[in-house]
Amino acid sequence: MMLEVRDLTAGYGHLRVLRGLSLDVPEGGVVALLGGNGAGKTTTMHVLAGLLAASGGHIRFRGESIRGLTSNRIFARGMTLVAQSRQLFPEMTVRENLEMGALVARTRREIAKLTDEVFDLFPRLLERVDNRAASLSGGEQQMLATGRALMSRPSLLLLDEPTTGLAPIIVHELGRILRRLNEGGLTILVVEQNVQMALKLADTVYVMRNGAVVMHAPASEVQDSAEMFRSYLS
Amino acid sequence: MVNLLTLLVAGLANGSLYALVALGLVLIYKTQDVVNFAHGEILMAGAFIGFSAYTFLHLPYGWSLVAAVLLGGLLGAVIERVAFRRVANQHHITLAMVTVGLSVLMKGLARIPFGRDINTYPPAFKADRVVLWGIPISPQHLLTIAMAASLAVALYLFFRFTALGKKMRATQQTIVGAQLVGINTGNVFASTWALAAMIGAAAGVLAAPLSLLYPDMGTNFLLKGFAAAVLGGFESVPGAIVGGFIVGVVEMLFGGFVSTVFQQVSAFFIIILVLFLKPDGLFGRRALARV
Amino acid sequence: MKRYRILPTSALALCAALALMGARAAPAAAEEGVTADTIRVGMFGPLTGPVSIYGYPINDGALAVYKATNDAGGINGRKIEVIQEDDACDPAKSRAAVKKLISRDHVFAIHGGSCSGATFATRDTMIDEEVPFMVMAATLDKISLPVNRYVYTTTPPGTSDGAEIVRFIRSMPNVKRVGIVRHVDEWANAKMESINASLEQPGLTVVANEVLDRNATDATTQVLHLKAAKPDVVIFVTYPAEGAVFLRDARKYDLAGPFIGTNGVTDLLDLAQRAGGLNAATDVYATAFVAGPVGSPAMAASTALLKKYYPDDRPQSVSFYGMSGAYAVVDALRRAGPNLTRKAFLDALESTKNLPAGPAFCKINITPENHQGCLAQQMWTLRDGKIVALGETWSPTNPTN
Repeated sequence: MMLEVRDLTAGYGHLRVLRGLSLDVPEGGVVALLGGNGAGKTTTMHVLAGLLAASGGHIRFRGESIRGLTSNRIFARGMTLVAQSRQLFPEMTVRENLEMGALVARTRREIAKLTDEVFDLFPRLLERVDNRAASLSGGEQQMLATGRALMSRPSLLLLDEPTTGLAPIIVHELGRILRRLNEGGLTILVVEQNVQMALKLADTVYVMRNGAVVMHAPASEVQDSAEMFRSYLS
Repeated sequence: MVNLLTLLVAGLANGSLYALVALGLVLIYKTQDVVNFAHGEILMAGAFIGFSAYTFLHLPYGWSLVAAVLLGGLLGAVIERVAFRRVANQHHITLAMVTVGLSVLMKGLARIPFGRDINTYPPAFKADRVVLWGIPISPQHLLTIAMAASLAVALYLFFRFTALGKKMRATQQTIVGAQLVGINTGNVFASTWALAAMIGAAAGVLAAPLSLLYPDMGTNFLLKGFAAAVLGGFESVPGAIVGGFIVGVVEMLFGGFVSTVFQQVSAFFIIILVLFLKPDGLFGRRALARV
Repeated sequence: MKRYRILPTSALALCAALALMGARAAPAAAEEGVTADTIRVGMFGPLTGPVSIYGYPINDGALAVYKATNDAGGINGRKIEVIQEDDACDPAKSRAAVKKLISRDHVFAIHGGSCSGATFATRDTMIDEEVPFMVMAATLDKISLPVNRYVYTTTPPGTSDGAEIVRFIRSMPNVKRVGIVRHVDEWANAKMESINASLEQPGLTVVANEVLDRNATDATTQVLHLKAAKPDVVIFVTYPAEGAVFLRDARKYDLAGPFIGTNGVTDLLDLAQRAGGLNAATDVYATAFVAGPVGSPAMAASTALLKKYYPDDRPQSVSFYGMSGAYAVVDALRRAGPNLTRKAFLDALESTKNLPAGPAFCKINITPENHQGCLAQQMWTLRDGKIVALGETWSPTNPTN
């Protein structure tokens, strides 16, 4: 198992957001995490990436406990988050942003190779390679954030609502690229509000409500009963 | 009539000190979003470290400067780790109050060993002055100008080409983004404080022979450096340098051609004028949201 | 309901008032601050804050005199007990310090105050509370003027210092054009008041009048303005640090003296060192309140006294500023007799005559009409790396230049 989460609790001050969340992400799989607003999806991602401390429970990544590790340690172990707010370096160019994503890669040559791979995936970024990140469109920014995360060659990619606010054609394109990455061996945990997209992409879906998982099932099983599924999300 | 060139040279000499102080303020502000009101005391601490190394330990002049810079840097890192990291996520007013508290604390601590006397920090060179193209200038001032200029270049190269420099830039732009690419932001904060404090300590050693050495010596320099930083937009390293030089020169021209009565406050006219006419400063991109 | 509440409250207030009145009336038997074997004296000064650099040495000098008096057997069988408070050179704090000394420590008299503003702020309290007050080292004239039964000083006030400076300049030959560089604060303004007044009389013209701010680290513009005005003599009314900055830049831009300073820069050697060596302090003069430079025979006895009680203090001119007042207090306490009351003490103070002032140049003379006990100063300068006392006027026998 790539990632095992058991009875995870977390919150902000007195506000408890996660109340005993458990989920599994198998190696090579794509798992989608669904849920309405305030269910705790983004909080889950922040805890997993080490941006927010858990108050209880266990997180095992490739067999080792990572709960309590700082974000840079978790990153170094191969788990990288693409945040919903993207968190690009606005004053840096597209190339500089990508290079910052490869801090674990030591040599110039490695960085050049990784950058080329990202440009292969997202040719659009190559066109804007010397533009500042702040000047990119929403879709381009999402591509850059994803590309930057890939620069570290993660074994588990966390994506927090990658399609929010993007044009349908770009959503489609992004879905295609993520599938291609998964076929190349990348394990993905994605938070989505776009149920259609999530069901197309994922092997397994988890539905969250009030900080815990209320159901999970193979995507193929819920494919046909999408109406029932939506009721959980309302 | 007062000689314009003489005033300009004296202004640049003083301005280079203000520029160094402004640099330290800007570095902390960019990373931690707070004006470090204790920066004047870091300058003072650097001066006293250099002074102690030179007079009590009898280190050569150059080495006492190195000692001041290194120990000053260590002091900066310790301040970040001990006093700042726990509260780093608090409101910026809280952070500013922490720096004010640090300022008072450091002055108080300095008064214990050094509070009973005003000490004299010997200048780096024996000669009182040299005359260049008919303009008298002290070697100490030449050294200060050279230090400010070379530090500006060194910092540019540091941020452009070193891994730590890039990590600092990344953290300045978005802390969460920096964490997401695996940067240990705690280390970056500590390094930034260390770097700012090293520049502050160097400024202290350079300023002390001009200003004399006492626990409250930092206040005046902090105010001038603050004016320089505001002028430069508070977010810009080149802005801090240019701002420093401008404040120094304006002060001299004001005193020379208008009146010495308002010379010292002319720096504050500059602050008010800048905030009124161009709140982003001469080099600022973003508005000065917090001071 | 509410109406009846008033009664017990006002009764309580009445009782409290009566109790207070009783408390005030009761100790008539013994004078405030005096017991069979002690006299309690309050002291205040800047023990914290930037000016604590002067606060400790000044107070320590006075304390040494009191300790020596005690060690010699005290006064009429009583030992002097000093209670020190900090005023941080801040008027609000000095008022609080004095109120505490009076109402909580019940001191007999107060000897303190080295910052003009902070000391002046306590004058009304001293007078209202009828506590004898000897000013320590503050020089502002209006602290001790107009004359009041309770307020005394043995430090030359600012105006007399300023007058002394102009008197000296007038005694110099061929001096007509005067340049001035000065601070703008109460200390400097008091001196400037009398300097300006004395300069108004014919013979001297002010050709430049420059402001140098406190904590200034550069005096380029001031020096250049003075140089352009071609003065025959320059008066600098600054503190030592800024005075050093001024002399350093004067040398840098070839502004020639003579430079005349106030008794704030009496320590000419110190001033020279700060300005970058003896070369920077050629042709520099300053008024001096003390009898001789630190280390000179005139100061030997006082220096030994300070060293005995405060071996860690570096003897400097300010170390001796508090002693003259202490000698005046001790002398008056002694003459007030064993039956010590404030009235007897004040009467004794007002009849102080030709009292040696320890390290001070003057003899202390206080009358009911004059409470500024010490007005005489002398002029010092540097010759061959040593401070030389020139007396009160310039004279051809004193080699200048």
